[in-house]
Amino acid sequence: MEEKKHIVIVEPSVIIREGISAILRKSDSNYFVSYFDSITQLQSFKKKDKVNLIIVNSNIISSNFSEINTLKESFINTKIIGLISTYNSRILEHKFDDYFYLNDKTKDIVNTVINSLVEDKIISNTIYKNNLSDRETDVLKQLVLGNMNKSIADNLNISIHTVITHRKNITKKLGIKSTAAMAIYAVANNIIEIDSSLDEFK
Amino acid sequence: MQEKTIGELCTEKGIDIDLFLTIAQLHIDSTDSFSYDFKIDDLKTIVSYLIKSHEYYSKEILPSISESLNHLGTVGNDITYTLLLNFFSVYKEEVDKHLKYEEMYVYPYALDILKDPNYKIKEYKNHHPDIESKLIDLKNLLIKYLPKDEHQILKRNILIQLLRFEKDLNIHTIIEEAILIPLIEKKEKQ
Ligand SMILES: [Fe+2]
Ligand SMILES: [Fe+2]
Repeated sequence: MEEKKHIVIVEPSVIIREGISAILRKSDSNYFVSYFDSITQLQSFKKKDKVNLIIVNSNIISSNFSEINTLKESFINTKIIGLISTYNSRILEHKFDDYFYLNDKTKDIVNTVINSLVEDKIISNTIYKNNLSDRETDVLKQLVLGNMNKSIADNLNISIHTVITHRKNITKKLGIKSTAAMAIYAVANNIIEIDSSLDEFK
Repeated sequence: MQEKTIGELCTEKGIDIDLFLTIAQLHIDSTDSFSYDFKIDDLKTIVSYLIKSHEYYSKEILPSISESLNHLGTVGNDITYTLLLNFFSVYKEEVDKHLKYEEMYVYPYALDILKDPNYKIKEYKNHHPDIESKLIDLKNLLIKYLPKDEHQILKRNILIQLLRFEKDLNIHTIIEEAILIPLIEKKEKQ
């Protein structure tokens, strides 16, 4: 039988941590959940290698970035999910491997947790180093040249659905949503050269 | 100048102190659930705050970011800086349009100055354009994707300007979507 996944919740509020574990219990999987009030307390936990996933309230780290950095160092192979509980702490989203919001729906919270448990940390780390795959680079070029989803699909011989998926991944990896900004990225990274086809961006 | 309490200043300006504190509080911790119960009478104060912040964006923040980007484009010898400047001027036009629309329709409607029986706030509620995402694009370009050269200080300063604008814009949007629109809807139902 597969070992139970160990999820650690770093959260001083009893209401919130009990809430999260109630939500996790609603999903089919069987988790072992333990609680810590603070990152310091978690740092003194002995069996670090047995932890599969950490959920941290962004409020705890908002005043102290170094704490989250040392936490990452002590848990190199464990994903850390942020619970974003205030509007302002949205700026901390990128500090985590993934995140959910305090007012997210059950489904979204469960999905975030499940995805983080299945995805390999090492693989997704390279993803977030924003290395676009060859196919994504192709799609990026087409987008930057002003092509619509339909014609990109035709040009690259893939389905529109695949184009849309590539687009989403490009945005996720680069942190860039608009085509105009993608164009600048592409020029700055020598993916395309400025020539007549890019007149509109000049 | 004689020192005055916030309460005194509010009374002087005819602003409800609880309303003032609720809005001010957003700058410390932006949330969209409020303990203050907004009243239709508050619309006047809220709209005047929103108009003032539009003025701040279009007369101060946006021009100063333009200026910095312009400077970067002039001293930096790289095509990407030129592209960045163009990106920003397109963005700036979008923002201007957004602000103008609100000043022409939404705000006057909130204050009963615009008396168009066909206008409903629902239109605006469903199509309140996102002017934050391009700002985030710009920020990410600056942080991660521009050439590393001797202009890092300039770029850092632009980044700080962008962050400040982004934060204010976030709060502005919360006020519009979580306070202004619900209040106007309440008024429409009357
Ligand atoms: Fe506005
Ligand atoms: Fe707006």
